[in-house]
Amino acid sequence: MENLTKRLSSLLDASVAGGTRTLARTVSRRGFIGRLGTLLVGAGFFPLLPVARAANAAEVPELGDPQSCDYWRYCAFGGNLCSCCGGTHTSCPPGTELSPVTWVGTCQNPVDGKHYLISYNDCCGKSPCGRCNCHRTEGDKPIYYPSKSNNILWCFGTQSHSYHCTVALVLSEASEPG
Amino acid sequence: MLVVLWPANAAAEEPRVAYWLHCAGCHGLEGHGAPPEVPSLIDEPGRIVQLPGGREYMIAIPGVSQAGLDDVELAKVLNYMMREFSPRTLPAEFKPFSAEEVGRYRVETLIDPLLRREQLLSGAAD
Amino acid sequence: MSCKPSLSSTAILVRTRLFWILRAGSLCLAALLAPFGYAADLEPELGSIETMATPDPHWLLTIGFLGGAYIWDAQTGEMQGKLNVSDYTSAVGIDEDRGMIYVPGSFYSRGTYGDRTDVLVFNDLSSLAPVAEVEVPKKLAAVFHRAVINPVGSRYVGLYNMTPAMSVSIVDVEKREYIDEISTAGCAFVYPVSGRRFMQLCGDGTVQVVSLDRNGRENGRVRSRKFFDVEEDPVFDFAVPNGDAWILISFAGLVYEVTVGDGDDIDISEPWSILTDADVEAGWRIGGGDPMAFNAEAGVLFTMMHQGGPDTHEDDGTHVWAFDYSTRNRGYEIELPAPMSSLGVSQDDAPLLYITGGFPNSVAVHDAVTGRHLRTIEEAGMFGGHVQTFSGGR
Repeated sequence: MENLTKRLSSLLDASVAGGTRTLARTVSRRGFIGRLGTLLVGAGFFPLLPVARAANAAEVPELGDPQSCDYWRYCAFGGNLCSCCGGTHTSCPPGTELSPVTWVGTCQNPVDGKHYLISYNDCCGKSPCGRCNCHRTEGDKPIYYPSKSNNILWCFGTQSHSYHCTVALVLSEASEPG
Repeated sequence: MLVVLWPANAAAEEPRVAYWLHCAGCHGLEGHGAPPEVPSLIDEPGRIVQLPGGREYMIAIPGVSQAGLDDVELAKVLNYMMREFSPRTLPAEFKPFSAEEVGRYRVETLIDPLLRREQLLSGAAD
Repeated sequence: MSCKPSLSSTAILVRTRLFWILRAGSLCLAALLAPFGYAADLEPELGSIETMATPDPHWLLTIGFLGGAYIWDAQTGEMQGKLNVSDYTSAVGIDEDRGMIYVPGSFYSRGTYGDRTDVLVFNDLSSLAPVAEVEVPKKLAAVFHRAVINPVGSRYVGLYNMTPAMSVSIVDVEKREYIDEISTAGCAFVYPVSGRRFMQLCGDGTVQVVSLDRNGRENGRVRSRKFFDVEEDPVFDFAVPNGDAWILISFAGLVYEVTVGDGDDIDISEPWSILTDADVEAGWRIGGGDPMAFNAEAGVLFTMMHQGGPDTHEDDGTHVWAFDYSTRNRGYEIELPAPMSSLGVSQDDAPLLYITGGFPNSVAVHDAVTGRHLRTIEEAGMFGGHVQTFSGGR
């Protein structure tokens, strides 16, 4: 668990997400509960993510166990597997925040041999899950090159940057290893 | 729905995919970023490239100049970004970035990007 | 005083300090026990609070993720005290001249969520208790690294921020006030250099030096020439000091020394490799959490080594190699009983080498010149992290 990394953050529906974040920042006197509530209310976009991904995810062949560190999507994973923490490899556990800022790498699928862009989003706002620690450093760079650094807590743009676990979302095919 | 079109050159990444791999982690799949910490790429780059020194700035900022892409691919990603995220502000006569231009300016050290951005934008206000 | 409990003594019991209760009790006890030969004049111990002794050069501080900061005397292996830190604190600022330890931290009002406050807490070095704090921008970098806080000049401290945009917050530790945030896009960390300046490592393969004026505000910055390629062979972001210079090492084992002159000149030495062709053949690589240490007095460089393929730069080490820095010859190697992650070394002329790691963390203490194992500090925090040393000055 000593190396925390987190990547990935997904796309949020522009108007809702942008508006929500702006609201959260301008209403300064609001307690955090209020801000969190706003984020959750404004987060009607959340259901869009799995739907948008489902179309893509259904096309990606699968082999291997998402609760195991050697699962193909985890080639540059750093942190705890959300699949062991009440979430799945594509969803955050209840009550956590999906980080909008992330780390994107590419991993090779064992079934079709293709490389896929993987977005390692952190789920934030709770103390570390502490289970299924997985640290693989493929393509990892030092912190001064943050876009490829595994060692940064990637809970940015969330209400709390307390790291809980990490998911691994397929974004698209890649034509070559990234 | 994601439709991936593969260019004839199999070794090259489609610009959108390359943007996702190298930029979207912070700036978002649709360029929204996470302001104020992570700049949004919507509209503002289109304004900046019209300013004197703006094109050079867009190439020299660390997130662009240090990206793990060669000059050809980086130019494609920059142009993709301009078209996708700044269609409203990009001038009709915008000259797309070329690999040569990217290669020339990405090696110039932009030592204080935030200051440069402020200078560009305040110069624009004059 | 009667030994029999009574209503009035019960009332006294409720209101009186424990000392008097104990005293009364002990007097009764003494009276009862006297016929058995026990001393009738036994006084209860009162307990007290230690003040920490003055650190010497063989003291170290270990700090691990979520584990807090521990202070050790490596000569005796005894724990000296612990510092309260935040869950996001990965390094502290040791200021022996002022008798202070500065602790940067991010705190939420409900522990892991709530309203966030980032502060620099001033802890007294003897009492190990906070005496003051300064609020700073809520941007302290949540990275586990030694160089997130360091002095800049004699009265300022730089704190590294990531949002993920990189910047440095400056605090005046003399006046105990926050001065300014300096945007350092593309460059990370705070490594002190001479004057009122700090060095950073940049993703374009250079180092940057930022200087402050007398008021703690930036008055200029310069970059070195590009000397590494982040894709080909990046340097680890952990630098170790050699006097005023900084030693860097790359993933492939190339050692560079960065010397910042008084003016704008930044000299980068030609690199040398810690690996022979045979080493490369056998797959030896440097790796770990904080995989290098250097003692300038003895002129010895230490590296944490393992055998592995590319991208194994964070693997725990199985061996420690020690090099004579001037001849670049390997002097000795230590085979570790278990994989360990980080190195440290005291900065004096009778140096001790510290090898930390494992779960729970332990610190193996070796004579740095002979390599001989002296003792191991067990239970040194939950997780290993890195080592900070004291200089023994005060």
